[in-house]
Amino acid sequence: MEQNEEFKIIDDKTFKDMCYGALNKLKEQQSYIDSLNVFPVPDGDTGTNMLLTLQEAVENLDKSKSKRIDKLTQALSKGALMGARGNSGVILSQLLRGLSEANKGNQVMDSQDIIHSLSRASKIAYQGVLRPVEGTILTVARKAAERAEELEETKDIEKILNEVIQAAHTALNKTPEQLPQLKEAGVVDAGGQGYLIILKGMLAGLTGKIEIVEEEEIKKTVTEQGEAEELKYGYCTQTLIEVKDRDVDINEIKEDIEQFGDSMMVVGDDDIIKIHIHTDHPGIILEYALKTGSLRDITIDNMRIQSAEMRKESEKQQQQEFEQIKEESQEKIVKNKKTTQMNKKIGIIAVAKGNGIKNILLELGVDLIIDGGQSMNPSTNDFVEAVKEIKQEKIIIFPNNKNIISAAKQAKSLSDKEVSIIETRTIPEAIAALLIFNDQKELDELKTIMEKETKQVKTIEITNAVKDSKVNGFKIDQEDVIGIVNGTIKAVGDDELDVIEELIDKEWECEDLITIYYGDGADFKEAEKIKDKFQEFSKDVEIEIYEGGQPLYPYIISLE
Amino acid sequence: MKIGILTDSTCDLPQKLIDEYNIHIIPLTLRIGEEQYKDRKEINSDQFLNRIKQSDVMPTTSQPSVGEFEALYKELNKDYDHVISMHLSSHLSGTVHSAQLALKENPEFNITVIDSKTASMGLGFLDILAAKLIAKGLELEKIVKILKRARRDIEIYLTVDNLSFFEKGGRISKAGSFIGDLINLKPILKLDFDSKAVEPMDKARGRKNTHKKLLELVEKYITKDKGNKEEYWFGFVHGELKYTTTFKKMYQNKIDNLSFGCKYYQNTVGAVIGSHTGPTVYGVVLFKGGKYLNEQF
Repeated sequence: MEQNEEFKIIDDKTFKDMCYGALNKLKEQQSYIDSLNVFPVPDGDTGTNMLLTLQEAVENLDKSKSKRIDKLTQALSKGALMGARGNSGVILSQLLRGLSEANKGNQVMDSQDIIHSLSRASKIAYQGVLRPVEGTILTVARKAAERAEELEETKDIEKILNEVIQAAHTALNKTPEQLPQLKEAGVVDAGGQGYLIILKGMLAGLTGKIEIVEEEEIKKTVTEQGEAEELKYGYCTQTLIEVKDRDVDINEIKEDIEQFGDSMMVVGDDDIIKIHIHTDHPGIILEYALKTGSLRDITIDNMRIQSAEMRKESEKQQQQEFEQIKEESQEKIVKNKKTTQMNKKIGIIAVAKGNGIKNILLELGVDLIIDGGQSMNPSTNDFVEAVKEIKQEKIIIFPNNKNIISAAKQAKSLSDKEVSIIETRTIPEAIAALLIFNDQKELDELKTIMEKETKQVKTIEITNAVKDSKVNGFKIDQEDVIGIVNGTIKAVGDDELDVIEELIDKEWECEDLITIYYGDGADFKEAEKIKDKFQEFSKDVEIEIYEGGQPLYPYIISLE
Repeated sequence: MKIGILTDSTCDLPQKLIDEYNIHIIPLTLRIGEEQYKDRKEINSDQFLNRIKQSDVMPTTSQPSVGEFEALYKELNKDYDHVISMHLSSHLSGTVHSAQLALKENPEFNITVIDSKTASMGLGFLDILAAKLIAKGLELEKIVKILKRARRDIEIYLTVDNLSFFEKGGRISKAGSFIGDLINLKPILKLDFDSKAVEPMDKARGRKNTHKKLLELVEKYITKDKGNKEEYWFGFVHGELKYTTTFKKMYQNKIDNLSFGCKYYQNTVGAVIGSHTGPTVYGVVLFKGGKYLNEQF
C-alpha cells in the first residue's frame, strides 16, 4: 500500500484489522482506564469491563465467515451484546449496535457509512440509557458523531477518523467541567476515555500505523522503594497441596500456620490448596502441608539474597496466581438443589460472591446464583444462560450491584421469558426483598413491593482504597479504610473499627436490626467488636453476625 | 335451666375473669422430668417460666383422663341442669376425646362437649361468650349453635424466637425447611378453625418486621368484615414480658385508634401452652365477640 493512498473503502479485511486495532489498544490501556475510576474501591472497573466486552465482540466477529460488512458488524454487535459487562460495557455494546444498524445491506463501508455509523452509534447509546448524563462516554460519542456529520464532503476515511478523534479528545477533556466528581478526583471520564482509545485503535488498524508515544501511558501509582526494607522472615515458601481429605478447612490451615511467618496466603478448594508464606521455618510449613495431602510445585526462595526489585516482582506474580486460583475455585453458577424440586411458578436468580452469602441466599429461596459482584461483573450472556437454565417461565433477577444492573436489563430484552429485574445494589437489599417474596403474585406487583422493601435497608460496606483519590470531599490514600453507605463514601480512616464507629455515629437512625456479614480479611471475633460498638450506642438493638465470605469487603453491614 | 361452663386449663384467661364468669376448669398435666404438676392449680405461669429457665429438660403435657372428666361431670351435674364442656382443639390435644369418652360411658350426664378448634385465649374468648349468652338467658341449643359458629371466626397469630419447643412438642405442621439454619428468621404462626396444627404462614427478619407483619394480620382481620359494627375482642398472650413490651404498645395503640367498640384482654400463657411454645412466644387472638353476642334470631 502506498503511503499517500486515501482510504475510501473499508472491506472485510480492513474492518477486521480496525477491530483488532481497537482491541489491542484497549488491552494496552486497560489499567490506565481502570485507574480513572473515581471511586477508589475495588470495583467492576471500566477498562476491564470494556475490554472484556470488546473481546467477546471480536471473538464473535472472528467466528463469522462472511465477507460482507453488514454481516460482520452484526456479528461484532451480537458478540458485544452477549459479552456486555458493567455499565460501560453495556453502553459500548449499544454503540456497536448503532454501527451494525448503520451498515444494514452494506457489502463494504465508505466514508458516508462511517459518518452514519458514528452518528447512529451515538443515538442508540443515548436511547439505551434511562437518564443520560453529560460528561460521560455518551457525550464523547455524541461530539465525535457531530464532528463526523460536518465532514460529509470528505471521502478520506483516515481524515474523518482523525478529525473525529480530535473532537472526541476535546470532548473528553471537558468532561471534568461537566461532572463535578471527575473534577474533584482530577480525572477525565473513564468510559469516554475508553471510547477514544477504541477510535484510536480503529484508526491504527485502518492505517496499519502504530503510535509510539501516548499521553495515556499508565502512570505509576506506586513509587518504587529504593532501600530494601528489613525482612522479618527470610524464606518465601510455597507449595500446592493435592488434598486427600475433602473435608479440609482452609481457615483452619490459616490459623495453624499463621504463627510461623507473615505475608500468608492460603487459597483453594476441595481438590487443591495453595499455600504461600514468608517464614524462617520452611520445613515446618511443608511438614504441616504433608498432613493435608501430597505436595507439588514446592518453591523456597531465600529473600535475603534477592534484590528488592526481584522480590517485588515475584510477590506480585504470586499474588496474581493466588487471585486466579481463588477465582477458579468459585463455581460460576450454583443451583439450589432444594428449590429445583419444588413446584414454583417464579424462578429467582441472584449475583453474589462469597460462599456464606451464597448459602444464605439459597436458603432464602434463590434458585440460581451467578458468581460475581464487585470484582467481577457477569456479562449479559451469563444472565441469558442463567435465565435459560431455570425451568420457570417467570424470572426475578437480583443484580446486587449498581454496575451489574444494566447487563441484567440487556439480558431481559434478549429473553423470551418474562423477566423482572429488582434493582438491588447490595446483598442486604436482596435479602430484605427475598423475605417478602410470594410465588403467587404477579411479577409487576412483586417488583413494586420488593423494591419498596429494599429502600428500608441501609447498607454499609467497608473496604480498602485501591488508589489515591479525592471523592466527596475526602482525600483518600491507597490502602485507607473506606466506609460506604448506600454506595456513597461517608468515612475514611486507618482503622476499620474507627471508620465503623464514625458511620454508626453519623448514619445510624435507630434502625433496630443490624446484620454483620464478615468476609475475607475479617473474622467472627472482629465482627463481635463491631457488635459491641453498636451496643455502646444502644442496648436494645438486635445484632446478628454471619460469615459472608465475600472478597475485598471485610464487612458488609445492613441497618434496617 | 341452669347452664354451667367447663373449660380446660389451656384457656389462658386471667383468674379474675374465671371467677367473674363462674367458669370451671379441668387441668391438663405438665411433666418436667420426674415432677408432675396440675396446670393452673399446682403451677402458674410465672412459676412455669422460672422453672424452664432452670432446666434443660423439655416439659411434656398430657390431657385429663376420662376418669377425671367423669368425676367432674358428676360433680357439676349436681349444681347445673346442663354443662357446656368446651376444650382446646382436638387437633392439638386428646382432651376433647377424653371428654367425649366420659360422656359416652355415662349417657345420663347432661353435658354438651364442644371442640373449640382453637386454644389459649381463643378458647377463653369462647368461654366468655358462652357465659354472656347464658347470662342473657338464651336457650341451651341456641347457645351451642352460636358457639359452634363463633369458633370459625377466631384467629390466632403468634411468633417465637425459635421453633424448638414447637418441634419437640409436635403441635406444628411439618413445613420442612421453613425456617433456615443459616440466617435467623422469626416465624409467624397461625391457628384458626381450619388448622390441623399450628401452621407456619410467614417469616420475618428482626423484631420490627415481625411486629409489622403481626399488625398487618390484625388489620386484615378487621377489614375482612367491613359490615361488622359490633365489638371486637382483642387478646394478647405472651411468655416472658421482656420480649413483648414494644409490640404490646404498638398493638394497644392500634386498638385505641379504632373507631368501633373493642375489648382488650391480656395474659401470660399457662404452663401447658407455654411448654409447647417456649418462653419467647407472644401473639394476638382476634375475635368478633360482639357480633355473636348480639346476634339476632
